Parts: sequence; structure tokens; C-alpha cells
Amino acid sequence: MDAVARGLFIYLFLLAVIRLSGRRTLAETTAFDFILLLIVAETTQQALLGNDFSVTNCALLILTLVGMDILLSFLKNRSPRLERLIDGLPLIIVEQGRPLHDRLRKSRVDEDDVLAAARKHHGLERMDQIKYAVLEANGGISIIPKDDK
Amino acid sequence: MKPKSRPGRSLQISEDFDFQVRNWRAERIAWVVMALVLAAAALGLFSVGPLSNTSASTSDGALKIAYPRFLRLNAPATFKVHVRAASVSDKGFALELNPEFADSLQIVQTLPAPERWLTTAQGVRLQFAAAAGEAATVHFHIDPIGFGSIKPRISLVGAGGVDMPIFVYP
Repeated sequence: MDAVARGLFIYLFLLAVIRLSGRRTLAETTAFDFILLLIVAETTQQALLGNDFSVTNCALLILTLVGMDILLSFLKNRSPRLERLIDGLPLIIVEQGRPLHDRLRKSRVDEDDVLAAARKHHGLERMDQIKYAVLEANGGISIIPKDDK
Repeated sequence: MKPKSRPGRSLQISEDFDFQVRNWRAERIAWVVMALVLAAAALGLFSVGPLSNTSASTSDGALKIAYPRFLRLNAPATFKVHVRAASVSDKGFALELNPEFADSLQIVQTLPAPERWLTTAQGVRLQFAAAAGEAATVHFHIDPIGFGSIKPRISLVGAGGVDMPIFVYP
């Protein structure tokens, strides 16, 4: 019971904190994001296991975490409202070569991030070659180049 | 959410700007809440800090205990028990712990160690050696083994006891 409660709490707590911290750039992991991930993992591990290092505890925890994952994916599939609540929605941040500054600022993404994605995936040189840039729900930036680049 | 495109926009995308705005607002509120939680932690709401440190004594002042009001499960802490000089006889003094003490807290160590541990109808009695007529201090190093509200009680045998209402965070 203890292991299941710990697993559930930590899963939901991390889900809420990561979602509400608005880390939309998780797909483009920087060195510091990586360090943050490591530290969070290390901190979580202690509280998850407590003083109980038994195989039973470990097995119960893994079952709880995987079970939550399966349950959530199942629920998300059935309820689009839940899905957008948990995963967020994509957001257009550049339209016809014009950066939508308000959206960029609120999402804490800057034009350089957009240009970097444009260079990386499409070899684009300038903002005006971008038809759409979309900040995807998973935090990545997709670029749709203009046809006449 | 069904992907739909705005008129004039060729992109098929399930964007919902109203939802996004609510989302941003929720994020801002969450950041404020996180900051408040951290501030409360710095003040000691989650143990260790001015909000947590407290003390209680018997009405005659024979026994005074400094203890943290908030503890965390499996996180060690210390109770400081002061016994007034007039209450220490040539046989030393005895402290009594109620059964709830033993149920909710594990005693890692007491400093000094008691001469004798006795079980009584009221709980556990610890007999300490001490110089007669001198004030004494005993440190209880404890480790909470259960969470929730607990009310351990330490009594000075022959005088009164002190209740310590404590909340243990899981």
C-alpha cells in the first residue's frame, strides 16, 4: 500500500509540476535541462523507495508507475479534454514569416529558437522563408517553409 | 480535439488560443504557489525553521521541552527536555513517555542515556542519574515512524507532564 501511494503521489506531483512549469522546450534539451532532469530523478528516487530496498517494494513501484502510464494513455485516448489538459496543444508562433511576438513571449521561446529549428530541419536562412512555425505540444518547434524558398 | 484550420490558414492544427491563454494563466498561478510553498518552507512550515520551533512547559515550570511542531517521516529531530534544579533529587529524576510516544516516534538516542528503562502502566519510564539540586537537560534524538497528527507526552515523575502536539508530514 505504502509503495503504491508513494508511486501515485510522485507520479501525479511530477506530472503537475512539469506541466505547470511550462517547460515547452523539453524536446530541445539543453545542457542545463539535462542536469535538471538528473537532479530531479535522483531526488525522486529517495522518496519513492523510502527505507525499503526490498525487491517487493521495487516491483510494486514499477507496477504502479507503468500502470499509471497505461491508465493515463487510455483515459487520454477516450477524453480529448483530458489529453489537452495533460499534454497541452500546439501553438502557431510564426505565420507567413511574421513572428507572433505575444505568443513567443508568453511561451518563453524567442526568435533565435525558431531560426535555429528552421536552420536545423530545413536549412532556412531567414525568418521570411518560414510559412509557419509551430510550437508543438511536446515542446519541439516544427517549421513549414514557404513554397518559394 | 478535432484538428481544424482557421479560414485563410492552410495549416490543419488543433490549436485553441483560448485554452492556451487559460493554460498560461494557470502556469502563472502555479509559479506563485510554488514561490509561496518555498517561502513557507524557509519559514519552517515543513519543519526546521522559526514557525516550527516551539516549546512547552508544565504550569509550575518544573519541566520545559523545546521541540519542533512539524516533523517529516523518517527525518531525525531533537527534543530538548529541561528539568528545573528543584526537581532533581539525589536519586536523579525520572521521565515518563506516554504510549503514543513509542507508537509514533523511534528514540534513536537520549543524551545522557538513562540508567534504567522501565515499563509502567502509563508508558515507558526513563530513570536518569543527575547531580542533586542542579538543573538537567536531556536531548531526545528521535525519528518519526508514522505520519499525521501525533501527541506524544513527556512527564516528569512526581510533577506534571507536557503534551507536544506535532504534525508529521509523510
